[in-house]
Amino acid sequence: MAAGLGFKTFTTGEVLTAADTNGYLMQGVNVFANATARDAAITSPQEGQACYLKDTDAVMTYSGSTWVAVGGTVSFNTARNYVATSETTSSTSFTGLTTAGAVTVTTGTKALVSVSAVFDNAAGANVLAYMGFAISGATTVASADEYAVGAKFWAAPGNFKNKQGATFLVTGLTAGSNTFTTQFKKGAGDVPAFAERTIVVVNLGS
Amino acid sequence: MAITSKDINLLQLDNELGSHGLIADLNDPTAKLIKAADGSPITEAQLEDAIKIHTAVFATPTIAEKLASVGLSVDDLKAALGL
Repeated sequence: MAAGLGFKTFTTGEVLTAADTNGYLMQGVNVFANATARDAAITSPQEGQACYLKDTDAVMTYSGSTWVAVGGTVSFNTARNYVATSETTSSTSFTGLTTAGAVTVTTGTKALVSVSAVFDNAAGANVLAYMGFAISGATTVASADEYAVGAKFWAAPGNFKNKQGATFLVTGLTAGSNTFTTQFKKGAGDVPAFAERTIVVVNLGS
Repeated sequence: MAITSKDINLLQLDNELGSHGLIADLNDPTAKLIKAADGSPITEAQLEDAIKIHTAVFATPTIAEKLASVGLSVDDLKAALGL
């Protein structure tokens, strides 16, 4: 297959050469039954060349080294961790609880992280509570209020129990295997408890 | 990790240890699990010693808190009593 020559407007009476045919006229989207048929027909693909495969309904272009689906391959690596048991902390800085909740996902530089839990004040009347997450592995990021869901409740002990949750877009990750670990802390007041703790991570690529 | 069946007021126990943060699973009253929070300098021995001398004090709910537990306020009660 000849390399594409770009675009040309032919003039009346101009002789159509083999080079014109290969360089201009053959540069459309060639249709094949599948990749095997394409590779048999195009043994020397040229960078920028396009094809359509009927078996996958995919339009592909040749990068110079491989055929790549137009629009790229979207891969949503996902993971979820759930801890049902209710546990508590008196820490005013983020900490894991007795039963750790974590997921490890191979990500690009962006991920969507969702955390949720049932917050309650079984152990005290007035509670300010937060649930966030730390990242370790390819990326190291400490838990922060910016990426935490919180609740403040003033009620008699045991009279507040509510599912809280939030979703955060995290950017600037180092692509690779990243571990997202739930973390918790209390603010002013008594100690909160956290049950039905869930973390979900969706890789958004780079 | 310390395991105890004693009554534990986690916030009070944490204060007795210098407020470095504790984490706990208090679901089983016969085996409450207590640990120092991430980053705490408290050792397991210090935690166990503190638990041994810990006497939990639980504040009695105020009238306002008792009313709030059934969705009422002091003003609600006054209004109901015509005061």
